[in-house]
Amino acid sequence: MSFNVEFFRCFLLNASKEIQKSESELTDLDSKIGDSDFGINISRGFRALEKDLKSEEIGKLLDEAGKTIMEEASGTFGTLLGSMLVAMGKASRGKKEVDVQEMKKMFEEGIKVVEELGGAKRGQKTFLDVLYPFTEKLNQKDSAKKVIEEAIKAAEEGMTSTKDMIATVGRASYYGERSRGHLDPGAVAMYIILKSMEKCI
Amino acid sequence: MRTIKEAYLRFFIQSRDLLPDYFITINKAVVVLLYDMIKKILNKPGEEVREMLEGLVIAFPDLIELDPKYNNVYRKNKKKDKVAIVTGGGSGHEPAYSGYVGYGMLDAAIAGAVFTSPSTMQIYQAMKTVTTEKGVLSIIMNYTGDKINFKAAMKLAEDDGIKTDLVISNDDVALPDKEMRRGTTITVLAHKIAGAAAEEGMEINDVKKIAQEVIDNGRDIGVALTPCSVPAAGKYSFELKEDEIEFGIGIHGEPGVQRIKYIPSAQLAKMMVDKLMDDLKLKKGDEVILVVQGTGGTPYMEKLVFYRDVMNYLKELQLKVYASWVGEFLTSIEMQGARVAVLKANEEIKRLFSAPALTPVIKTMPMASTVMS
Repeated sequence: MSFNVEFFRCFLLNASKEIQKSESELTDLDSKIGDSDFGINISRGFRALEKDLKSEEIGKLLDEAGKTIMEEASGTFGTLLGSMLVAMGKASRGKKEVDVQEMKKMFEEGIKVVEELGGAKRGQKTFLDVLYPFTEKLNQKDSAKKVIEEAIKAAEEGMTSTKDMIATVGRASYYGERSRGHLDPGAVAMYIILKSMEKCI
Repeated sequence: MRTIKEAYLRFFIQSRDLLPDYFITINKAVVVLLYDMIKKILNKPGEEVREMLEGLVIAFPDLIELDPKYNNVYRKNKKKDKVAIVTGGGSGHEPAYSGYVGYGMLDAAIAGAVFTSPSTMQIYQAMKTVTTEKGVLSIIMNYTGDKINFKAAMKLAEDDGIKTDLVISNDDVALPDKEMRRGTTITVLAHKIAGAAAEEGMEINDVKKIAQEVIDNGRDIGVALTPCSVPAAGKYSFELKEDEIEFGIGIHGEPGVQRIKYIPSAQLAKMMVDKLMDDLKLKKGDEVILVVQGTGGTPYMEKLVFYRDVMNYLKELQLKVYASWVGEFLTSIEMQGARVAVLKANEEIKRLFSAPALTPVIKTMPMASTVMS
């Protein structure tokens, strides 16, 4: 059971389509606890990425995707997601396929960078609350399809859990107690991105 | 007109949770339209930063050049065997930072949109362009977006084998918690002093050390008489009554320590200097470098009256002023107000501060202890 470069290419292309479809939903969420430019910003980043997903090597593919997102989506989410993809690319440099354990390692490296740059931890109402449960599920011995399905389910629960959290980092933290009751836009976007893997198995 | 705007904004803010989502979008557009009526000498919204930088480069073609794709301003005639000093942040604080690019100060200034961090790729591009064997030192202000993007860019640069390091200034005494303190005017003095150290050929660790020393020994405080606006949003970021002064204002119009009733310049000077003195624990006979400046919309007359008052009070306290800058160095768009920054100076800081520099704004020459912009 492994994931090849086509899986990652499909994943990024699908993520781009899904994010663009959700642009107004994300913007609406952001207008409640942010400054309303989130959907537009991240959608621009993904749109730009579609044209240069040509590499035949997982590391390079992710590295280029990360850098394009950082270039086009200059908000904090774009920077963190881009840095995460670059770190994942570094962890898979030169590889044409990876197994589940290697994929888990890639996500762990990505998470490490996000934690380091953004300074967030679990339970602070960020997209890390989606990434942690997703990554933790990447170790079962089932089929690739099953592993990804389970991980996406865990990611969804993670996303839902941000609704009751109070933001203590990032722009949403200015809203303090008032951030409770709204899903975190970054967490929703991360869930949409991860969910788009489903169609690529 | 102002009353209509205010009433509409109040309605929008109070009702946003009760209205359907699409109405919020419409509402927002109406608010922006109303507020767009603030007059500005600008062309198309969103183009102001690039156009401003183009203006600067037209004025100083021998000193600086612009990469218009990234809004990065680079020093011309870069030196190969020195640590490259870069900085960046949101625009709206002119002449920071593009006005400090040149001999003896910065190798690159990276401009984000107004009050918005530059992107990681802008910063990464700058690091790649100006780096030398000795590496790139970033000296930036303590704001979340700037920190994330500079750190992310440093990671990319390090993957390319570029030596990087970072100094973050938190010199604004307005906030009691040191970790939370924002970066302000001392950042510019750090650019001057670290820039001179780099020009002398010091290694990156030593340049970083001196930059950190400047930040540790410098403090800044600001006041606002009027708010500022972001041109693209076209609205004021906060409100102040006719007889009020915001004491401890941030450079983006962030709230300060307290709102005080209007007091004359001499009293304001005393109050601000006292705050700096307490925090820096300055005592009689200490020598300082002083920056007194307006915040963008302050008339020349008021800046000089206020400078006089600050100088008089420092004399009364028996502090020695080694050198001073008076004018505009780190502003907040059209805000009317003032900032005072004090740096406790030792021999090395004095020497590097007085070392030659040639940038659009700072031109240091021997025997000239005061710079006026």
